[in-house]
Amino acid sequence: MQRLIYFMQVYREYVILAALIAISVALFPLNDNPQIKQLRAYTIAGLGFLHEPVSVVTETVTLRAENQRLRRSNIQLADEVYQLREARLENIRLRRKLEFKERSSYDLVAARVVGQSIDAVRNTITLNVGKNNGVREQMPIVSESGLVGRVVLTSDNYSIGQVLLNMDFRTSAKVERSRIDGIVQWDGSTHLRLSNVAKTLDVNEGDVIVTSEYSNIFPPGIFIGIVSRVQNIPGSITKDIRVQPGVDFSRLEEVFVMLYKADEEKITLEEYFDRR
Amino acid sequence: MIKYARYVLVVVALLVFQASVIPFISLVGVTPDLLLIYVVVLSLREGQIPGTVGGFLIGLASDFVTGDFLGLGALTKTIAGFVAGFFFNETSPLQPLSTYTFLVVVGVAAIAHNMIHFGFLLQGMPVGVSEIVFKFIIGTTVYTVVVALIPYFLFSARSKSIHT
Repeated sequence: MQRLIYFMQVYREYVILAALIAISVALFPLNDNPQIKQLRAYTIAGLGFLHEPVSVVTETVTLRAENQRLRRSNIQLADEVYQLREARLENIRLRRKLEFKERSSYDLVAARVVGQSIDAVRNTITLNVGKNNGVREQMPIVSESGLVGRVVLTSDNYSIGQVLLNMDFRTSAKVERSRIDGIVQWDGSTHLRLSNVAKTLDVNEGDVIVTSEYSNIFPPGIFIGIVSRVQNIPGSITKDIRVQPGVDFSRLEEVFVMLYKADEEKITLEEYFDRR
Repeated sequence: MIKYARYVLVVVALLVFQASVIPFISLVGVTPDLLLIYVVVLSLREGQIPGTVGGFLIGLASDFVTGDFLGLGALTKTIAGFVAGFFFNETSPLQPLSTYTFLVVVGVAAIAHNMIHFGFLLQGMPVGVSEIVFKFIIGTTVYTVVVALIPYFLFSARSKSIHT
């Protein structure tokens, strides 16, 4: 016993290091623990409160550049509104003819990005809306430029959003033109990859990528990005498809949380089938 | 007691700064790690054991407030604090902070930190080895060392004013 105490005294730095490493590793499986999630929600709320005044200062600094960008964007949008109005009228006429049901629109909650965690691998954003605003985990986050990500953690007044540029992010997607399905995930750069698309399928540069009906988190048809490169890699049965996301994640200030929850019956049925 | 309260306040301020201001100076998605720099400062001022324990607590706090993978920040910053602690000068704890040693220690601790951090997180990602090494590990390390020049100059100026 004395030898053990002596050993621990002599090598106490290493004993402490080993103990702390063990505790850290023991925390890994607790990521999905409900109590831990609740505790994290409280800390996020606390820090979110401190983020607010700092984000006001940083926003002021970037205001001039933002103003110019918005003016330019406004002119482009005005043009697009005109074209969209025309397209919508045409769409209504066609829908009536085909007796399609009008797709229901979802309620949106406007949110300000009050914090960002950018460590080059697991990018998340902190939003100033939470459970009190009707925001729940797994709800989609969108902006005027397309899909931003999904809510992964909520407190009463704040939420953490996992953006597309995050190694854990994956969603079912499809090529709007050819209706080819695939999985969108981040490739570690400023681009996304559309994977699981066979070499023989029809995907071209410039194709629009949107969320698909297979997703249990996002409603179908949300714009994700544009195909920027298609390559056939020798020895692989699938295409290497690079997608330029529609959203500029370096300038994310205002977003919307879509108050959308996937059909629980569908998810339950699929989970039941997977378990069988 | 006041000393510890000061450390806590600095960590909270750095957590807020890291989340709200640092994203504006990111270069191709690479950002400096202010908390890592502070873990190194802690180790060089207080010693290896306080640096290791401080690294663990700072990493854990970072995991909690950023929604990152719980335990990974604690693990990597524990190791960074331990590595930096080897450079602790018991007779003159402020001395390494005001010399180039500080930048070297930040670099060494950052390499150890980033190798584990990105090695763990990039498993299964469609990212090449060269990109992991040059962009994520070396890029983040270099950027962190560059930002560490700010506390280095502050400590140097303070050291000179004490000696004159």
